[in-house]
Amino acid sequence: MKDKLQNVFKEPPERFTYTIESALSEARNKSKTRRFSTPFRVVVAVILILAILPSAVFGAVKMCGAIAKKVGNYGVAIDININEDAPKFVKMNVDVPEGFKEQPDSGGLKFHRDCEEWVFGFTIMPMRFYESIYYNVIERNVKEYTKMTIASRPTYELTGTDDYQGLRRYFVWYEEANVLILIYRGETVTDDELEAFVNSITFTEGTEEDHDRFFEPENNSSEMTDDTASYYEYEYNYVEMQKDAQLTFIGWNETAGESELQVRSKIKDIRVTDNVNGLDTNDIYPSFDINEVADSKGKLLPKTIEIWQTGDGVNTESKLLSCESKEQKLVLIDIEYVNTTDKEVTLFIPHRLKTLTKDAYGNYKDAVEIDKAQAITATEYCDIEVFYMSSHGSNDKDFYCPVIMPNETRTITIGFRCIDEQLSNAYLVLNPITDGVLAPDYSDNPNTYLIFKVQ
Amino acid sequence: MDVNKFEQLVRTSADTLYRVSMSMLKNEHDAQDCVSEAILKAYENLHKLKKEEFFRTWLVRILINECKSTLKKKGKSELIDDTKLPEISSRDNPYINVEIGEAIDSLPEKIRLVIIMFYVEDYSIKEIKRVLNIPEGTVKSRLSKGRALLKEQLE
Repeated sequence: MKDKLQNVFKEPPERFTYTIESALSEARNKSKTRRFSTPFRVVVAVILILAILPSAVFGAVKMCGAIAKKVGNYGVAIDININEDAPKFVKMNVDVPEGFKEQPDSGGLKFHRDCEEWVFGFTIMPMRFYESIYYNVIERNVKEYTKMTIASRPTYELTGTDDYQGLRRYFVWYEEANVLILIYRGETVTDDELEAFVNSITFTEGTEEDHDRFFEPENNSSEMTDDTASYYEYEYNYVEMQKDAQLTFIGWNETAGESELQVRSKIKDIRVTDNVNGLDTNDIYPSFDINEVADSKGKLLPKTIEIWQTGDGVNTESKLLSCESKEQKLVLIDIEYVNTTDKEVTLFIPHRLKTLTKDAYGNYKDAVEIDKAQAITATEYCDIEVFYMSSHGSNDKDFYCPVIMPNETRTITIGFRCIDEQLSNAYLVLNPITDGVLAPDYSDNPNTYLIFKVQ
Repeated sequence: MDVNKFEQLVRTSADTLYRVSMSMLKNEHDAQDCVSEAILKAYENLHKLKKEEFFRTWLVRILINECKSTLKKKGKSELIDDTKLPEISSRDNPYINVEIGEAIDSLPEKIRLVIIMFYVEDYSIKEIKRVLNIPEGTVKSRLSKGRALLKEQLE
């Protein structure tokens, strides 16, 4: 058998080799981007939330290339090539200086004065980069700063327009661990207290167990251990919102190099139709061909829903239980965005629609999981990504990134298709982290999703 | 593992990536997409790989997951009706020997994958168990069922 099969395959064609080289090239480019701009933006966004909402609860704060997470002590590590002098895994220890104490629900990242619980003391954000490039990160991304030292450590204090709500901010470099810490300093904190605080942070060498990863494993995880593969299941925390809830999104302005700009938003209306006439076809997501989603009169074409029972492939094979064509509707959601700043703000709107049902205990579950125990699932009942987004201005960056002009109030309509019979289970879903929702804050659980019932 | 090492290991796994993806998807276009996505995912998650020696099995596992999700998206399954094999263009035919290729293609996907990994890619039963995350007994039973089906076809 082996003889027969060993040489049955052709050599991979040249175009296949080209695919591999292209993917490697893209990976190389991604690595460059990740090293510089993306981590910084994510960090800034996370820090913003921390700084603006002193009562924010953070079990874990994640960012690209670095992690600050309460794991007994704090694990701060990335297990790729760091300079040889720095340990691969490090643990951060904060010996809280006299007069301050850790804010209990802050994930160990906030410290306030002992006697004045809500007076801002320090908020810290540790970051670990792949190489000793901390100064590149700062100098490329921060407009104005003053170089200095605090407790003999290289420090950049952010100045000028980077000044934030009266709080002073410092990037302090801990060379021995390859860690950069951003410290927010409360107004009443003295220079001596700042120095004592910087001194109170130390690093010890950690182990792999102290480390947590930015990319959490998913189901069917690609993570391998020596002998077994690990599987994790996300526990989603769905928070149902009132339709008229006021949200605050964070956006950015690339020209000004700012990524802290806020835009208020509110759902104004939700409509359901079955016809795409009247919609600008340029606003339909480019991968959809209008002729394939609607008939000549503009009526949405039905969607085929398959229901499967998954088997193990040998003893039990997967079975197609049913296959039915279902009428579809288009859910159009008008969202008003108000830019109260004097700058153009670019938003990222990756909202999605999901069908959810509630179990006997009031917990939400994915409607397509018809019977989890029997492994019976259906194909998605609705578009899980934006199908239509109106009001694309000439300045918009791409489909998902509208640019709201200074002081502009703009209503954007986003649309999703959903099969008619599941409309009552359809929700608009926002993830505070990926959608950049600053408020209201439910970010104690990174798997929290804000959901708005469509009907 | 640095980028250069990563690239080198991916290149040496090119044949395996081609054979595994083609045997699952039977379509070169989809196979190219999945291989590309798998390489990017592997790079993004490189820090999760604990031992370099597991690189190939780890990468193949990512690829298999990609192929599975492509199949799922397309509404296909491992249940392929033997009497209705999809038309395969010469571009999408990865086999030198058409007769053996057809016999392999006629196997249910999960069995086909185990057969390819064991007989073509020289994976051990333990390695297949790791990559597919299935018990050793299941690997053996798929091998035995696959062998029997192939024998029937080829004799």
